[in-house]
Amino acid sequence: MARVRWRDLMGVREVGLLLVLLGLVLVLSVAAPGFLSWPNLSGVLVNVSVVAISAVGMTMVIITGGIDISVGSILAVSALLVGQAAKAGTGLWQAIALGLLIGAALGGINGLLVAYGRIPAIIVTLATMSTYRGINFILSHGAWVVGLPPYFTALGQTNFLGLQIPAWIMLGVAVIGWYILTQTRFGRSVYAVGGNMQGAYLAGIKIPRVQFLVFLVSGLLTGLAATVYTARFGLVQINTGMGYELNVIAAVVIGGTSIMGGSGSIQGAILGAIFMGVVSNALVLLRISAFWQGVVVGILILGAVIMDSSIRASMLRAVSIHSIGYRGAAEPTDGRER
Amino acid sequence: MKRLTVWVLILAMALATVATFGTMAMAKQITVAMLPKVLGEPYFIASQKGAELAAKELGIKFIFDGPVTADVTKQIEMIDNYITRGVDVIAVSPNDANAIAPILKKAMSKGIKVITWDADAVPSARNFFVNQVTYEGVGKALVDVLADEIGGKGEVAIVTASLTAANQNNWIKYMKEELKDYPGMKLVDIRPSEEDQQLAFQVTTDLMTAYPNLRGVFAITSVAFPGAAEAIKQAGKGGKVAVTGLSTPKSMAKYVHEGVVKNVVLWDPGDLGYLAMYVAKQLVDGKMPRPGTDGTITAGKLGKIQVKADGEVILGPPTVFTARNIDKFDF
Amino acid sequence: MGESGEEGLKMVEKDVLTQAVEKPGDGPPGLALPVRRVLSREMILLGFLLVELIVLSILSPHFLTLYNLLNTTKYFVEIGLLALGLTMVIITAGIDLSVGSNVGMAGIIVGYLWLAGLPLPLAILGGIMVSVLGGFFNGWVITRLGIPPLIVTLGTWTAYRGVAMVISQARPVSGFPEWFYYLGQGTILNIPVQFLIFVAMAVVVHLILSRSTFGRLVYVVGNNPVAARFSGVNVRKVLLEIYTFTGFLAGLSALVLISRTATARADAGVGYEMDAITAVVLGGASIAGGQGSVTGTGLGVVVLSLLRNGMDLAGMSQASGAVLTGIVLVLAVLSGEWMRRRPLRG
Repeated sequence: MARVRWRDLMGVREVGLLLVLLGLVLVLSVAAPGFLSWPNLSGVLVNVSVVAISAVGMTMVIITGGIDISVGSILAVSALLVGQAAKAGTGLWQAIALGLLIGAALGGINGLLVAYGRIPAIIVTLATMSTYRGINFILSHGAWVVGLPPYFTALGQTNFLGLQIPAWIMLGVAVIGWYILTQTRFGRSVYAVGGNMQGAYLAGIKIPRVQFLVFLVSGLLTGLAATVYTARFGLVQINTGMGYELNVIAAVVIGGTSIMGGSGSIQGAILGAIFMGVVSNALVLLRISAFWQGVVVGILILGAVIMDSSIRASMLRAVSIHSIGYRGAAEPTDGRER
Repeated sequence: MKRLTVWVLILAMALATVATFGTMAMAKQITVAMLPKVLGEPYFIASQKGAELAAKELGIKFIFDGPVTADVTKQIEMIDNYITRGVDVIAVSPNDANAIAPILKKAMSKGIKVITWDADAVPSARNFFVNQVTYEGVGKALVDVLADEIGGKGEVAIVTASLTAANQNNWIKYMKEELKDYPGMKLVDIRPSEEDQQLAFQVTTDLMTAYPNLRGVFAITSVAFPGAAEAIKQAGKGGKVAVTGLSTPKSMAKYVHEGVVKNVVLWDPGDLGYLAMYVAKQLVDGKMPRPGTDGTITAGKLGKIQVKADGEVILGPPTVFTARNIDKFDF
Repeated sequence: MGESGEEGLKMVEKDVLTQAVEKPGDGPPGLALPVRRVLSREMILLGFLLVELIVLSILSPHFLTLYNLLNTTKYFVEIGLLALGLTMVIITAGIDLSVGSNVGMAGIIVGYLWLAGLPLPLAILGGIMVSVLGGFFNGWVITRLGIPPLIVTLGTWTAYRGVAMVISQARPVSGFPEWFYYLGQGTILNIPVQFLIFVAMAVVVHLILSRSTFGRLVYVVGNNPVAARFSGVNVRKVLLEIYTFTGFLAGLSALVLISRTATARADAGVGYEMDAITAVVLGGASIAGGQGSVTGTGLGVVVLSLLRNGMDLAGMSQASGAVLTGIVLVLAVLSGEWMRRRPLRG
């Protein structure tokens, strides 16, 4: 195993966002009393954990040049079935396994259609978003699952070393995701498929297999996220996960992953999710009127990305391109990333 | 040749899927199409059950379906298709009073009777409005219940549905009116939860951080209320921060027994659906009081129900569920 | 993670203009597969539409009537207009998620300018100007600051909806003068007025894309922006104009929607971006850029809208409808791809 260097963890892309995030935290700790307290900060981490877990899978999908719009619906179906199982009295581990299994199955269908049906990912997942959502309505008969047993909700609500378990799961998933993406052959083939499909093909990478697997992983992790989600609230509603896909995609792309494929990182996606979490926390703490919420969030997203890109640009000028590697090399000049 | 095979195959698959999911309409008796604001909320499911019961009693052919998201334009499209299909009565809980009006007027011009229930359209676009409780009644009940819990003093906040939700905005209007009677209570914030339990949880948590002296929360949607209660429970502030709101007893029973929630305000949505069907039947039979006159109708198990001159049919006052009675309700 | 995924390896650059005319792109980009085109995506969709018409008319006697088909065209329009703009955007390998929010924003501007006492025609002009500005802002940030379209329009997706919220404080506006309702509720020879507007705009965009130099540039930019720049195409200008025009279409869509529903709401157009993108990609546009046509998009819009209408008329529930919509979408593309890849005589 190659030695892990700091530069690999915090490349140019991540540092820019990290600085923006730190700036935001600095401003908030002055402006919003109560922000810089451990209960609040750990609360933010727990709140972003569900989105962040899915974002790890989404990052891999997007790096291959795909996209997964169906995660919100996968979240809903998995949460429903896990909730029903937990209510029926399955053990905790069985419930977790069930969540993973359902997520993987639904994600696997996406993967099959993309990789072997050769249908563009956006069409497949737009279609399955609709289909899975419909299935969710049919399976549930429109009814919520309420009154989940305490041994199950403990997964979402127990404290461990000052942090609730969902946040630990998020960190665990992020580390594993990072390891797979950067330290394994599979990870390298993920970048290769997205960065240069022709090259990947010539290098003997089985492109369909990689495409299938990233969608499988995206579904699998969303299934895990669904279990965490269900355990946190102890109740499953039918409209779970409406609009979830855009939150996940936002976390990933704010984290610097290119929508055109070939570049991106797990660290970035996690930072992106945390950034979004801090922003929505700040809106309430700063007592900004709810009517202004959309405008402020929109400006912050644009502002963060613009600052991030200018920080990166100045760092690129400061350091020679070769020492940084390919990730900063092809800077977009007209908003396009190829 | 091969291409033909493929087309036949596709046709067969399409037919098979359609046959699995489709149910053909076969009309002879009165057909009533009932639309909730959105699918998948226990409140509307309870209404559906009540309406089904009444439909069985009255021999009505009953269709219940709604949009997947609370979107008035989807309701409009569905209603237009019901007009094309030809139903006798359309009963809708509109997501917007004005936006739904043109299509309801079109329905009326084609001889279809129109009822609104749960939420109203502009009065000229419907025959009758089956109202659970007046907006004023809900606003007053909510404020009085919470004032009682916190002794009429302290900062309070509202967690609503979306900022554009018409029912919620009407309730908030009357809640503000009622709050004037409690000078010690101060409304510090109104936050949307977009019918999302995670957001309701998050917003409630953040409200408690932003307003350390917060004493009470109104969670005025059936989705937000459990989320808000869970947030207060997990923050360990049960008993310190009071929470009340509108939701179904079944989804709140747990919190009531744990002591996080003392009072849940709601009417019986099943009775609401039940009443709507009786109004539909009597409307088609020409037995409703003439517009512009007060009157009463008899609605099966509900007995005598008052009909106001402006076409409003009122179910009755809201119910307050507490630890004593909450387990008796199955919705 | 440095050594993998060399982005620098550029494909062999062909002559830019021939690429545009060829419209390449079966299968993954760059994979040299032995593929010959048998049928265009448009022909396949047309065939699919025929099958759909037959199946739905068997399922419901109300479906295949002149009244129903004309009446249903009303519901094509708002999303159809957005889809026209998105067709161009997607051909350039861009995306615009903000269109639905722009519809909400433009509508609220019209409503509140009118409430403030401006005559309605001026208020309409104001709303259109704001939507154009919204589109222009997207294009400006994308081209001048070099931020990817997805992120820019994700930001403005939130922000434009926010502007509508701030201005309206979530209060809808209604009670417009009667003449205004002609746009969204009137008919000419039983054809809804807004459908005629949609057809007119579709023809305009089709002519731009297929007959004008600008249209050719759109495809060039989508196919190979690097080559486009080297051959003297002003990529920024092309992109800026496309996003601005998409903003204009969002304004038009907003007008139709307000007129049809007699109400301007801050949450108007929520989720429209997904419906419009679905129609565009079903119509054969590739999000990798370079591919797409108005005919395809138009067919995509019609296929999806008639499907929804027919399922409603057949008495299918909305939930089953959602399941089936996804399956049909996959089937449509799968059957099309299968036939397209089929060797010429085999």
